[in-house]
Amino acid sequence: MPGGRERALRGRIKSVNSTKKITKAMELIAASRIVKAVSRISSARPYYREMSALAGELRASLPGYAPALMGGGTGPHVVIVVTADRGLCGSYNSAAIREYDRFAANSPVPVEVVGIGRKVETYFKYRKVETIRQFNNITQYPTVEQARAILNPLLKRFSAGELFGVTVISSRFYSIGVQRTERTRLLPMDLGGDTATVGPDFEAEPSIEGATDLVLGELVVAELFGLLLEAAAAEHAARQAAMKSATDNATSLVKTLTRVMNRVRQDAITTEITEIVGGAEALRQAARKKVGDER
Amino acid sequence: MSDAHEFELVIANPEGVVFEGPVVQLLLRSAGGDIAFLAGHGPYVGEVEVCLAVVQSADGTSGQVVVDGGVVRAGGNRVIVLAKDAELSSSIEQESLRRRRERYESRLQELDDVTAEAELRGLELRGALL
Repeated sequence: MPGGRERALRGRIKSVNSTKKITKAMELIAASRIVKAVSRISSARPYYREMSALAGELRASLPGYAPALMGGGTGPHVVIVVTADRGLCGSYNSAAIREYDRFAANSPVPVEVVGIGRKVETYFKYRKVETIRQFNNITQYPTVEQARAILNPLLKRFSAGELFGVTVISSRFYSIGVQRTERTRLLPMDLGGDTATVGPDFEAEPSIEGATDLVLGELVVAELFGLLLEAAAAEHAARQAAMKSATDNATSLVKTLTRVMNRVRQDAITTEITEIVGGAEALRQAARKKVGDER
Repeated sequence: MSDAHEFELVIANPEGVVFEGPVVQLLLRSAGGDIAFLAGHGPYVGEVEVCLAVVQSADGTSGQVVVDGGVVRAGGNRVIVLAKDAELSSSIEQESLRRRRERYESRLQELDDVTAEAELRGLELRGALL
């Protein structure tokens, strides 16, 4: 019959094994979601590429025109912090929060915050940081309409010169093994290159200025949408890595616990045998003594 | 391009490419009114209104695409429509539209849901155009 310690170890092994099953399942789910998220990033690229090219073309054909989204305003700097709605994804959430803390500490102008994801909401509540808006349940499957809803009020304020800038703190997806938390400045927009020196060589409706403003507005929405897609892929990749590590740890723990349990069981058997042998020897000696006494 | 009357058309939204291929004509509504694009159209950039774009292929078949505004660029025998949202009308089912609308309307009554709001807007547009 197993001893108390052996029984406790057996229970612990069972518990670790069931945890391992859960972490393994979560690892597999995350792996399948990465594939879908990466495919969404690839699908979104043609639009962004064409929109960027068109924005550059329009910008290069408008001498002296300064689009509102490319100029700087005065006022607070809005930071959009993107985290997950759930944990169990390693340092994915804490890295974004740390980056926000660094940004807020070094910003020369007041900072306003837009939170995306429950994790950052919890953190801001705990730290008593006021957010101008909070969006939950969008990080797993972000859509362009959500990106538009997040940006529209900010675009209005920035165009009116009420904001210094808009920056996104999110995790960028470089590959399944590499994700980095980075700051991306959305506004003021920087298309690179010099201001135009030649006029347009195309017809535009309603006007080139109108088309430029429209294209820049859509480009910044597409940029945020792209960042949200990358953040979703990075979240799944981080979760997969965290769950793989947890599964590996559980495997190693089960191995160690099994070894300890076997040793405990062996010790118990050895003790029992020793006790039996000792008992038998004592009985034999007692019997021998009794026979000697009778003689 | 096999036919001299054809030009390359790309209709894309931020989620991906909705239509891509050689066509002979594209009809849509721009800021200045209805506009048709044929092969060899001059360089042009214009704002696209919410409309049902009609695409005609060389074999005489035509298709419709729901376009939720955006911008169109023509030049170099290529036309690209960068839409805020776009969907092939053949892929839209009325029954599915009705079910989705009901689901999002009930979600919107329960809470201030940005996703439900955005989805409803898209569904109303498709329902109105088709």
